[in-house]
Amino acid sequence: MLRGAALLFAALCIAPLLVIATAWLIAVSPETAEAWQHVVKYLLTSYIIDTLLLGFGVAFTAVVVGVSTAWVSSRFSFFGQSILQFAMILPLAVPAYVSAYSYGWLFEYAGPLQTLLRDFTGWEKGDYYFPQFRNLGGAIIVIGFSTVPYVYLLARTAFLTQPLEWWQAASSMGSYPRHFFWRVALPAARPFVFAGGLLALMEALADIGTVSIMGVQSFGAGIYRSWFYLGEPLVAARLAAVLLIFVFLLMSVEAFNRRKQRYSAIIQNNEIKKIPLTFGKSIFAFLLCLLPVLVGFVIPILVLLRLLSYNKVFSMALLDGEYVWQTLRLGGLSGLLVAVVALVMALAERFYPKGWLRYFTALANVGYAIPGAILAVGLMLLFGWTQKYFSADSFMTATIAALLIAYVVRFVATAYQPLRSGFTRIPQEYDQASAALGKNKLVTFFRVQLPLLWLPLSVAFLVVFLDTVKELSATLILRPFDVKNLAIVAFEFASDDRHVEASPYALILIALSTVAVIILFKLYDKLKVYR
Amino acid sequence: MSVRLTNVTYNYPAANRGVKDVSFILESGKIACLLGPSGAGKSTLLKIIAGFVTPDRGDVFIHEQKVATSEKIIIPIQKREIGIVFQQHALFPHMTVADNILYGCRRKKAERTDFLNQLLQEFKIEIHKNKFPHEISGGEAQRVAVARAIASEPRVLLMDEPFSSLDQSLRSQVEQQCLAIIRERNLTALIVTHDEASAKNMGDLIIRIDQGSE
Amino acid sequence: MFKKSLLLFAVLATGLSALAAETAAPKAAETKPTEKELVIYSARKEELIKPLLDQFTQKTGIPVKMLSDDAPKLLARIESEGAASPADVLITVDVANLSIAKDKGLFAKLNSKTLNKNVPALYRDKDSEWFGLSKRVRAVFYNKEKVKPEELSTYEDLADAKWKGNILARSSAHPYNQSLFAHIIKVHGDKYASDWAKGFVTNLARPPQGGDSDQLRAVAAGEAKLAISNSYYYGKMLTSELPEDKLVAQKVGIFFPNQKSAKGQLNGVHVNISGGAVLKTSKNAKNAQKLLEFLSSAEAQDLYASLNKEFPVLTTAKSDSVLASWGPFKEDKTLLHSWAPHSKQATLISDQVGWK
Repeated sequence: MLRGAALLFAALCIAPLLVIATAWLIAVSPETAEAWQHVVKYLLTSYIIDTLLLGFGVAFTAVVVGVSTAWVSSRFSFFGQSILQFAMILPLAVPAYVSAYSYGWLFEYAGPLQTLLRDFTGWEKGDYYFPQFRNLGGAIIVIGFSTVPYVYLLARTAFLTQPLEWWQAASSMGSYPRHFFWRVALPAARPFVFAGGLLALMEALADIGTVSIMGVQSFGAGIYRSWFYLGEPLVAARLAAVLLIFVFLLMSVEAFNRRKQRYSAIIQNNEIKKIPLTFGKSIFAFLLCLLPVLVGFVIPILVLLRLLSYNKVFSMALLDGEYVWQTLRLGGLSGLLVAVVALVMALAERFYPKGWLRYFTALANVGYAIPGAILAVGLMLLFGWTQKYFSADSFMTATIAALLIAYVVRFVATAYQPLRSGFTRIPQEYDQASAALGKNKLVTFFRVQLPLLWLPLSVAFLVVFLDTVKELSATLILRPFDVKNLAIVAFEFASDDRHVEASPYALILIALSTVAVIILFKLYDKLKVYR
Repeated sequence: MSVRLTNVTYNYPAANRGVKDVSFILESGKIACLLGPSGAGKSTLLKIIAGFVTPDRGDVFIHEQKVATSEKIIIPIQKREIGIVFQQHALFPHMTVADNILYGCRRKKAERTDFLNQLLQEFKIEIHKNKFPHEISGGEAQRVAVARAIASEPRVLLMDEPFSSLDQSLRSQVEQQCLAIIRERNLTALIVTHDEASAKNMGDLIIRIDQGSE
Repeated sequence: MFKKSLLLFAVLATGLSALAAETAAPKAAETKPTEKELVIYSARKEELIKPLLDQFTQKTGIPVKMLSDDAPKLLARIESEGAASPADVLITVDVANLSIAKDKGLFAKLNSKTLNKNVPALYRDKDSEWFGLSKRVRAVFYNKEKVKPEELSTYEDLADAKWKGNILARSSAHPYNQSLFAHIIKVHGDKYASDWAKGFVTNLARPPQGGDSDQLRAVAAGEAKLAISNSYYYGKMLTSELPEDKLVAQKVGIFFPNQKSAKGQLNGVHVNISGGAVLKTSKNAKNAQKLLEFLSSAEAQDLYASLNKEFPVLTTAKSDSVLASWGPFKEDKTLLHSWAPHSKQATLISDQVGWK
């Protein structure tokens, strides 16, 4: 039963990916073949280069910033640390496309910074150098800093739960914090850091909004362009299939990496004595931790507030609770559903760790790296075919079901990760003890595992909630009537160049997400002391 | 005859470790100590009897009923009516001492309170009844773990180095106390240990295994 | 703790079902629209089209519901929904989208005297499947301090080396540019078009980015001398309540190119349309046609002009003061459906010459 359910869910997540992958098997029309040749000849090279640079650039940024800040804030005490260590994850509340637009506007020629500079100096075009932001570098900064919290949270958990004795032993052997970090703490935290970096990388691969604002020719942008502007779904699907294989390779590396890692029940480090820093170092630590908060959260919000201030004619739209309610409802529903699906898959892996099932669940996690728009259209094709077989009267997209399925496929990976690590923190002996005491799996799940999982479950819920609230492209394509959340309203204004009108909705969206992020952080802190 | 093993062999996949051709008989009401150096396969043997591990070859009988044979579990662990005490207690952290003990109790509701109180009294842990595992000491936790295993009224009690995490003086005290309760109930028990002295002290018989075989 | 987890589960379960019920309830009504409810898939944003639809409902009593997204995605959705699609009407910008949808056989043929009368033949499908509802002019905009309108002439001229580093345009992938380029391909052929695009790309002041308004703002700020943009963005800036927008509009002038063009060039300004069509699968075709007829009527056409600053297709529509202030201009009369199919070629050539 359990395995059946898990298999069903996994199959559901894999099916749209398979549909995409079949693009290579289908015979194409001469016209499509020509379009493919065109893409290979003129675009593929830049797609590959931009995608690799973007993906690894983002992962690099997220890892360097995330690990250093996690290390500094988990081992040392310095000015502002108590606030910063949680402010660090606030960038999660800002959709990357919002921050991309904000920076683009801030730094462009007609934007406020350069205008101010010209007004002040009287310079004109060509008289001065100003860095461009709407390019690959800008995209790396925007997506990189928006994904720093993934690495930060994981690395922080790793550092905080490393046994105190390591630290004491190393110190007794004359090791300084710096040596300890490079030789013990970081190598031991490597699996966590790797997982965080991979998440950041996948985020970069799946992005369409930011790369289109920044003019980056990544695979995501290429897929979108081939499908919607060139009108060649098969070309798009071929590109998507290449992307899928790349992601799958990366995930295999991660799985291999994880296998070498030995989970042990996390030991609570009651009150690690943090090392106080000298004044100078304290300032440095403060600035280091402030950087991602500024770049990923404060500056985009300031830009939005500036845009908002242009709006002299405040409509009552701000007070319209309908969009907020829709946002909460969709996010909540998707969070619950995805968490339950991920739980079933994680549970199956717990009880049948050696079976064939784990390959399916691993594959089911690939959806996270597929751009939402591509996934949505893949799903739509799938629905279209199944409908022809069942000749249903009404259509999937008439209800919220289609949208929810898309969210499951897209976000199951984010819910699956905290649940799986939640399970690894429950010693196998608990299951064995329960079994020896005569209880079957169902009782064991409800009485032993579930009560120990409610924190990871809440984390899974919140992570998916956040992702859903920010999600745009799949929501646009698959939503039924009446579904109009903050992201969509903001997008509709923005896509019509009405950024001023869009700003209040973007701000409310960020405010909502910020609340969720704060709760998430509180949960995370509890999570690490379990046992 | 409570537990009988005939030519039980098991090899860990991809590891040069396991048990080879182990046979022994443990009579009802007797306490046996499984003695051997670490890595000899004592715990593996216990897991085979418990049913967590399926033997590659050989048969396992509990009360003359074949529960496992070559690569096949006949009776699953839930139906074997055994009690297990783990080295690290494995008490459920989200349940109180009382809830932990009653977790596997098969008695009727009405009898439970008395049953629980009696056990708590015997193990001298009444005052910890409503505490959580992280609020009690190691020795107390060990007694709770034994009490929990006994509370399900098993036909065979399996203990994996149950007292090894305790310091010497506490250890013999807890050991004696638990042993007395086991004997009083005339339970069949198999205790894994690597300490010769304590094995002689506890066991009616000693089963030595060395590098995987008896 | 056990109770806690039970509670958690109960909350989960009730929450799920309550939310699902909450969302399913109105949906159930949707799958079977009441006799009169008209369902519109619109690639035009709600903000633009809503006042028109409201007026339609007010006048006819027919309730209207709409869903907006980009045209290609709406088309994909309609296709996959097949016969079960709830959509009655498709409203979209850009003739290329209409032409693609027509080729896919999604539209019903309409036989409406009103539409045929209101919409000039140039701006409707030759088989009466789609109808233009507003005209969108792709004009050239210049920084008044740096350029005199006399220096400007034609689209073709924009590829001339004298403008090197001084033109702004959004991405070639955007339908507005795609269509203009398709038009050029139709008139001049592939070879010329490719050379033109090469020249145009070298003239760009920066890699394409942002929307049409962004190009206007950049020209006002002096990043380049010229930009191509649809005229209504400019019209809306002129009438904007935001002082910043007005300032931009004041610094920028509008120029309708190809008014005095040589033979073989585009003979007038490039005009695209926004249009509508009734879907073949519509179960409410009569009312759907009524809606299109309404949108082509004088009162709706006036709104296109006064609200959106687009040019009405109805020749007798009341003139908007802002639009009138730009003066009369000549439109290129090449049939829209003759250049629409070149859109794909336009994208291919853009890739070849590196117009992002």
